[in-house]
Amino acid sequence: MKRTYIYASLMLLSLAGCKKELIQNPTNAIPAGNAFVTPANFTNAILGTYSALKGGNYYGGQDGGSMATTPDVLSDNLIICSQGRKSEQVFFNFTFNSNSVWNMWPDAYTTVLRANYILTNLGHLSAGTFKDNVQGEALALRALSHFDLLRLYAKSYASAGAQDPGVPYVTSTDPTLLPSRTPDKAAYDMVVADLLQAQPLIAADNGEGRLNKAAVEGLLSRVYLYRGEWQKSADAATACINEAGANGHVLANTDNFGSIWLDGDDPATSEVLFRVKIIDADGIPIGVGYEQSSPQGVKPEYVVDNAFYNLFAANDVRKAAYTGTTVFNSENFVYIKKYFGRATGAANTVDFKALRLGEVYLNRAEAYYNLSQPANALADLNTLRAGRYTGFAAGAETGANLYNAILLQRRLELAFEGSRFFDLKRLNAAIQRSDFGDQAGGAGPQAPVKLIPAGSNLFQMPIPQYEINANRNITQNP
Amino acid sequence: MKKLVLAFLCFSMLCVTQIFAQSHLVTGVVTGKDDGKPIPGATVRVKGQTTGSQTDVNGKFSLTVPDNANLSFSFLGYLTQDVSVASKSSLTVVLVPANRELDEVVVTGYQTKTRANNTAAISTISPKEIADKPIPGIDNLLQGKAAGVQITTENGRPGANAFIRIRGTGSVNASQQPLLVVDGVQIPDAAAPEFYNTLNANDVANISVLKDASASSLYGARGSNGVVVITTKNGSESSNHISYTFQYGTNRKIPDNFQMMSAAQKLQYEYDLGYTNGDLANYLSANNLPTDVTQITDAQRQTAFNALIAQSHNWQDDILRSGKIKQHQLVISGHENKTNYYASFQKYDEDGIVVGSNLNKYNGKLNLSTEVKPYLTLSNNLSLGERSTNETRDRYNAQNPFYAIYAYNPYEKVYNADGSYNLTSQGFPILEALKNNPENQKYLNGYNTTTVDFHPIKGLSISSQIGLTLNDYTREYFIKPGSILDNYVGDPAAPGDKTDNGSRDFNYDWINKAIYRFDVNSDHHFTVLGVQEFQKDVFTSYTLESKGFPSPDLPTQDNASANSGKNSTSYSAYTIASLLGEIDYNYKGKYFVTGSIRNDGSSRFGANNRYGAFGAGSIGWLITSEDFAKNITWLNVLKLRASIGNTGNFSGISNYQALGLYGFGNYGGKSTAIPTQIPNPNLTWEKKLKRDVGIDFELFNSRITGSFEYYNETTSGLLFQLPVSQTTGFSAVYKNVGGLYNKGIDLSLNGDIVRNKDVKWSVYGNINYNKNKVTSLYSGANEIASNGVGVVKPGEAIYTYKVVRYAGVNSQTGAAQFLDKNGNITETYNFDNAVVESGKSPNPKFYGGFGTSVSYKGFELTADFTYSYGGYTYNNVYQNLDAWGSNYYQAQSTLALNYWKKPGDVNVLPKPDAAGADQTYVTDQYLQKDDYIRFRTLQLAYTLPKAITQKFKVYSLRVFLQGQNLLTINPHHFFGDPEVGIGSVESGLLIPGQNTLYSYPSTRQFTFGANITF
Repeated sequence: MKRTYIYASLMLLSLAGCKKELIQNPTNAIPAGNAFVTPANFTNAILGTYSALKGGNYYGGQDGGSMATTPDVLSDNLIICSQGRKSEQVFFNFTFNSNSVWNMWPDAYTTVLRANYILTNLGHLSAGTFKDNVQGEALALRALSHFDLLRLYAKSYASAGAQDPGVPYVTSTDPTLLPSRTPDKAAYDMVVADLLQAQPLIAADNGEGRLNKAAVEGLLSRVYLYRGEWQKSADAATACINEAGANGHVLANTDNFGSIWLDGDDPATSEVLFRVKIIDADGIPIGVGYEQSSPQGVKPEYVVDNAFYNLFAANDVRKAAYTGTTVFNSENFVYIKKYFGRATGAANTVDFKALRLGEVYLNRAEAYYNLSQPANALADLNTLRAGRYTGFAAGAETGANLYNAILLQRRLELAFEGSRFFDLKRLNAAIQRSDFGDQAGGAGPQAPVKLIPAGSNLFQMPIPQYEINANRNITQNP
Repeated sequence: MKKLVLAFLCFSMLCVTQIFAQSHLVTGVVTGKDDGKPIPGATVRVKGQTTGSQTDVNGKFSLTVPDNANLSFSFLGYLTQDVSVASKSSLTVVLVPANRELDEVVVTGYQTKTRANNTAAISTISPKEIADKPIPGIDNLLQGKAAGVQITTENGRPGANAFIRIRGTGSVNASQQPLLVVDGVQIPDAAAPEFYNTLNANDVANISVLKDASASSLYGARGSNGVVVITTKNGSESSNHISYTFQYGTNRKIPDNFQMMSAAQKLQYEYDLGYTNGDLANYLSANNLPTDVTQITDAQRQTAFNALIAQSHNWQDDILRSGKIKQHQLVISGHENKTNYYASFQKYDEDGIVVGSNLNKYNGKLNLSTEVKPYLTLSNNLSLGERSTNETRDRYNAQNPFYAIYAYNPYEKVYNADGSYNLTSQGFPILEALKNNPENQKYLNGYNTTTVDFHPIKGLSISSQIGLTLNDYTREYFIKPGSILDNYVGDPAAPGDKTDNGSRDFNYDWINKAIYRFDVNSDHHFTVLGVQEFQKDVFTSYTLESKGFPSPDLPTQDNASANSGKNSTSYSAYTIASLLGEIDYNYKGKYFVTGSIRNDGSSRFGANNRYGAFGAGSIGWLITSEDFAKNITWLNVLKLRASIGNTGNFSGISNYQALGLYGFGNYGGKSTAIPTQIPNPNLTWEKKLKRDVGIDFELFNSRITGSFEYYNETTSGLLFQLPVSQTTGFSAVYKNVGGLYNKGIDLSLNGDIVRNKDVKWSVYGNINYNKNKVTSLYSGANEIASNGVGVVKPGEAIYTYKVVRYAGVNSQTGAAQFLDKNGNITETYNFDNAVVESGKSPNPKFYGGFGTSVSYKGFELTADFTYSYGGYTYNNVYQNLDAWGSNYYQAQSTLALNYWKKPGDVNVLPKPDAAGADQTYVTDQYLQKDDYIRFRTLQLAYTLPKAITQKFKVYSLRVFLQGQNLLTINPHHFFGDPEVGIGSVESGLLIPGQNTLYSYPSTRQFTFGANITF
């Protein structure tokens, strides 16, 4: 039986060898504990936080809820194209519900988590400008995502009562968290606090695709505008314009405005203060929610509402930069060209322009107007218009005309750029669509829903059902 | 030990000396005890030698044998009989029919048992049941063949796999498929579907399906969904033969059971709904008429309609085709001296029912085993095959030909006047895409086992087996430059786009095993099994994508001008280390006890729960071995058995799921680091407790055989992706929570109605009744939604439907009505009003198969049926083609014409509102019963009489005709094919029977073939 014994002990020996083999580690990831050791780790982590903005229902969204399309689909700027694929129809028709919702929620909170990971691990960095900058970027990104969530899922700052719910303002990386909704106004306060904390920390120049001091100030001017804090908005805008100018960034003129939308602008001087970088390799053609080219011409998903289209003057460079005309299935359409793609590269793939000087001037103009400083407001408005209309002669509007001119320029300037729905909501205005159809000139099927009254509950997107199911502390919007 | 070896040596010397002994001629006849008639083709062998012969058509044989030799007489279905020749020159041998069930071989993968000694619930499928079918996948061939084994074909695609569910759905998120074991090697779960397809069904010697704990807990953490054990032929089954088989045939889509609108009907429908289609608009503007149809006269409109009707055609005729099936196979097998050999080669080609869909398969096999020394056997099984398929898209738009055939309107032309493809109302010409967007997939896979079996003493076998499996997958998808899809999605500056991706799954499974069979006096019989096993699986993958191709004819990556930047590779591995012991004991062949225990450790699970023990016990009582039962002449076999034990399910989650990880990506081309998953060091396998009681019986001279079983299987610690609040930045964490059970009955029956020498008629049938219920989820979860129509909810069967109830039409206004949660009628559709439809789920209540076989002399007619009863399908195709006016722009079925037109209309669809909130809502209106009985196979075969073929030195010649899917009984008028597999691959509708959404349709095949054996 000796042989059997030898055999048995061989088996046991091989078994011991197996034990080591029972620990297997991936080749595409590291344990979370090793992720924040060197400064390079933090650089990767901060870029990872930016990359969360590319989320499929966020700045990198395409046709199921996206920053590029949905705030305009939910407004009076667009009409659904009868020859399209009928994407985002639930938003256009305002028939969304918690199961069929613009699901920005998880994408924005992914950004928040990544920022929070950096902020909770800051102790691994020695004090200095590198640490300050990383902290500033993380704080600003955390603020930006919470602000986007508030704009979508909560009441506007002006219309919210003290106890009206906002969204949970998350500052921890605990995966077992079941937060309740932070009150709307308190959450807006925390957005401001994070941006204010970030402003002195962040560097003046972080390169393309990252936030910097001017961008944080620009975001502050936007957030204050949403809060109706006009002086602070104007001050932040001024700080932003000065800071940007000191770094070479100026408002585009009528000659170089068009190149912005092909990503052909010079990053060193561009008026784009913050762009979410999207490259061909990402495979996220963010323009698909508006159109696809076909051998028969461009096949639009959404077309420009004829009433709105008529507001683009012939000498407005935005008309050609933002829109185009096409014949598809023997019908004429005005499609949205803003995300058609770079001069070369994948179709419908461009950076998302998240903050531009054009908006900052408009923020300040609106703030000045509300501060009863019409001359300052008109000056900003004319500065902007001079950069958009060829042969522009300075306007001289006053009173309500001036206010309407500011709002009109805001609608034109930020059309199809993630702003219209939020502006109407912020201003407590109704969504009033025209009686035009989808075809160029206004024929064709009209929007089935033409009026969403000001203050309607439809201005608050339902919280996604997934969150309601997973988190018993979350209350749904009415 | 030494003594034993010496004894062996002496014994073998004795064998050698025998050859030099005197010999003489023996003649005789072999008859059967059952009918007293001669048995042709019975094997006659000299024991201990390779000398042998076969009986002729009259059951006669003649053979020169050594004096005092022992002859062994065997024939399928009869007990083998040994006869001492002594000096006799003539013999009459009467063979006794075997107790069919008890002599059947069952294979657990670690050892082979006879039915008589087995106490586990194991179904076996014989090779004859799956041979020579025009279906490449062994999984599909099992349909209806074994009780409790539910086979649902994914779809009708050449090379489609099947869902195999043994005794119900046993998991929610982890794998629901059984483990596949081929010649003792555990096949990686990811590769198993490919093995079913690439293996040659004709090489199979035995398929055993392990159902209960007693059998499946031998596989510990991988056994909970049951185990399919395939053993291939090794040449010992028959004498030396060369065999060639061919099979030719055609296939076609199964005809629709609904009518699409004619061009005239559709145009009128569009007009009534206020829609002007593009073709009509083009016609009107070409004839200088206003494109607004309300602005023209009725006569003008009719003229325009007639012009479109004149150009109408049936898109099915343009897109579909009848495919060809070709199969060739060569087998050389047998045994010489101490060596068994089996070699086969198969080539199988099947065209799909559209251009751009086909399958080509090659498979080669060589199984060799030889007795190196009397105490040492060496064997090697090798099988390697490649399956290449050209694929069509399975998605919910006109890129899918099986959507396009229903979506294109009949008046839309294939080509424009200038010869270019008409994009149609769908914006996409599928006939162009089938040529210019080819997708090819290749699976190269196979396995090799090397086994050394050392048997130093009687009853003891010690073996070591290394099993290697390889599954290599490559896929090419080419959007040719200038193709219409390229125009849609491509880069105008770099036209064309080519993707090459693939993966390699390499696994080794090293099994060291000892089996010792011994008796303690003549009454106590023991078999002891000990196994040590180690498996390691390495999965690597790659993706390459480039654009900018100079020509549609040059598809390789080296032609491309630009890298699309999506290139990557990946690596992933797991290991399992195991110890297994099993003891079988029986007393006098009457009372049986089996016990087993297995300890598994796996790298997949959390550090705190890396090891688990699995065990099972079973008992059996062969009543007919008792003295009191021996006088009951009509009762041949009666056996009671029961088993209990636990198993695990480690499939369905990724290899590193238990770890907390930071992964990497890009932002603007720069490296990023991102948290990717929440750690769970407690993560471990799902646990399943299986209980089973069964009866095996044979009655009336074994004319009626069968078995009946009741089982109860409880799964706990379900591997759930536990939703977490997304405010954490994560969506879910894998945890072991929740449970479900499956209880049911398996019954199988076989009957020989006529059993004469010339005429045989037998019938078979099997049925499974299964009750599935989810018992718990995780705290805080009432239910988990499944594809928008179903839920996983405690107290209900898995995937029970949850939809809004449709309440018909308001006959005054034509508005659609629904029931709210409380059962009140409302005209507002709100998904919150969806209710759980208890008792309605994709799971059938009963399923199984039945069939019959009649033979007369050389003719044999077999018919196989499968059926399913009690399941429901959410019929998206029905919703899409019988819409409430919302799909006016695409083709529609004639049912859609029946909509509300005037007050008082009842039993109609709601009033269409083309310009309004055009929606056809998801309601129980489109939830349909999918019961069916399908005439799966009809085969007529004729074997030429041996008397004739032997004149031409041909051992046998057989010709056969086959039809597949000849008839489907659809009692509830299910819209479309009631046998539903997947809904749509690219829409992620992959739960069998849950949805229909234009996946590849089932086909009907007709083939003929012939087999010639020398």
